[in-house]
Amino acid sequence: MRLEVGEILVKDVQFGEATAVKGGVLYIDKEELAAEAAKDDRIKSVEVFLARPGESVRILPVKDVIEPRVKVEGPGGIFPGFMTDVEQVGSGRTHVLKGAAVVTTGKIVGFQEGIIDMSGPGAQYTPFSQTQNVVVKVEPVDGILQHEHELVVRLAGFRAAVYLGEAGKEVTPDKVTPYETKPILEQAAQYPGLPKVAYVYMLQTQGLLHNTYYYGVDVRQIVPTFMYPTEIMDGAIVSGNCVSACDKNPTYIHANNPVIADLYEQHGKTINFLGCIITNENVTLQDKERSSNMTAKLVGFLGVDAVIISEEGFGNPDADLVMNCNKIEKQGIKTVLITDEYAGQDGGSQSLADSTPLGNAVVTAGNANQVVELPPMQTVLGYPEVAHVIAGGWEGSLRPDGSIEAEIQVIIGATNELGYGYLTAKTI
Amino acid sequence: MKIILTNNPDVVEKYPLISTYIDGSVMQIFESVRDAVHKGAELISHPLSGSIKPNDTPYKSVVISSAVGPLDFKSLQIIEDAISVLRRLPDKCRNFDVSILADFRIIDLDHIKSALI
Repeated sequence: MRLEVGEILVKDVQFGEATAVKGGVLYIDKEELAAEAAKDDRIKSVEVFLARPGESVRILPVKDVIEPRVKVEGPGGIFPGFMTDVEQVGSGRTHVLKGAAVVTTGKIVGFQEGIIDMSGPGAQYTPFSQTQNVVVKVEPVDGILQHEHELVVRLAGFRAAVYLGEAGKEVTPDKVTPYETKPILEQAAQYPGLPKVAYVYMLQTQGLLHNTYYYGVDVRQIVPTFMYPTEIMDGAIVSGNCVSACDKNPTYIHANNPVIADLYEQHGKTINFLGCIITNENVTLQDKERSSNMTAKLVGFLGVDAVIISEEGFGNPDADLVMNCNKIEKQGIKTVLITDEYAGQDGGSQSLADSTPLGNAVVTAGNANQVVELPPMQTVLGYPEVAHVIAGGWEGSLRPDGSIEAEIQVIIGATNELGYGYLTAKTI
Repeated sequence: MKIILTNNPDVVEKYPLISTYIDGSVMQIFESVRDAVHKGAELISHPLSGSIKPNDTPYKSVVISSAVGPLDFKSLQIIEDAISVLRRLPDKCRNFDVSILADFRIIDLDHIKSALI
């Protein structure tokens, strides 16, 4: 499966008379975008705002971040199972408005989280302080319940992203990158001298506000399956995960999964990247055993030498991470785990809720309990009144002047377990 | 046979025949689960279900088996680890209003549904 990804660099976003990309600027017909996002009888109103890097703007509470993309050649469309039919995606050509992002905000439940600061110290913790953000605030009709509210906000974001992505369809990209994974036997034979590596992609699937979808299917209901890595670049995996802002994977990050990007970067040089296995993180121990058994079976079936395993979330998923690690390692296949830590505010406590001696190669994305002070911003987009009920904060987190003291777990992407963040360790 | 140890009234209302209501904190739920595991119960749902941290939500439900028999060490390790996690998280002493408490309850209820199929 071969996909060309054409990046159209967006350096600025502005409201204009018609939606178009010209000279690196994304112009948006505000009313048309709002009308497109609001195409749902369950929506009372949609408001659209812009937030650019460096501005004194806080966005809260963020539900999802989505990158505008459009299918230019090849079967299917972006976000299969939601915005298009369920045709296989991941081949042909896709254009991306690189640098632009749709950010959805909605008050689905009373307790809140998910902060993006466009400047100040908070901006250093979120990758979405550096994107040109189109903030879509979705107000549903009265009386809507939490399950449906989440769905309504999620779909409104996808419609907005698809609408904006269309603006890139006829634009010549600034950069085109081809990605290719061949059918498994051909792929294994292509680089016979290199170690064969697969990627085990764990997805959050615990229930309400903790869901992930693959071609529209709730991943909680699947058994682990094989996926061509290019499928994610067309939005085959989308987020319905609204909790744990720091280490959830927004739809944007799924489409830009840096583990897959780096594996492709090394493909044919130091490794032979065979593909992805997606698996879930369910609540029951039986589901965990079944899914980790199936994952280990698929990894063994592929005959790889090593796997990268990324986790999404903390606590319950730590058990899945450890089961996947143990069962794969016991087949003689090396694992490298990517997680984040809840090691206490001083960083001194045990990081995970589970552990294994076989997990001897682990990458951390940071300590989510680290405390940060976020100064007041001139503008708060979304629902500023919810700042006093931030999950991950505490009584008195929100100060009278609008500043917030909280753990970095409240910031979108702060300890993202795919590594799509800024935290790093340096030897000094 | 499955039993739910819970401090969530919505869970009791939904599953009255198999719920054991404990009028206490999340830690008291965990300790009750641990005690049941020592008597031979096995964990069916993970005690750290959900990404809402156990010191953020006041509600927790854990599904266990009603079996009485030899100690299941795997279940014991998981519940002990969960207790350890909760102990090291700071007590936030937050007073949430009624609607927020309802949201915590509905998420907790949703997350154990898959353990009761």
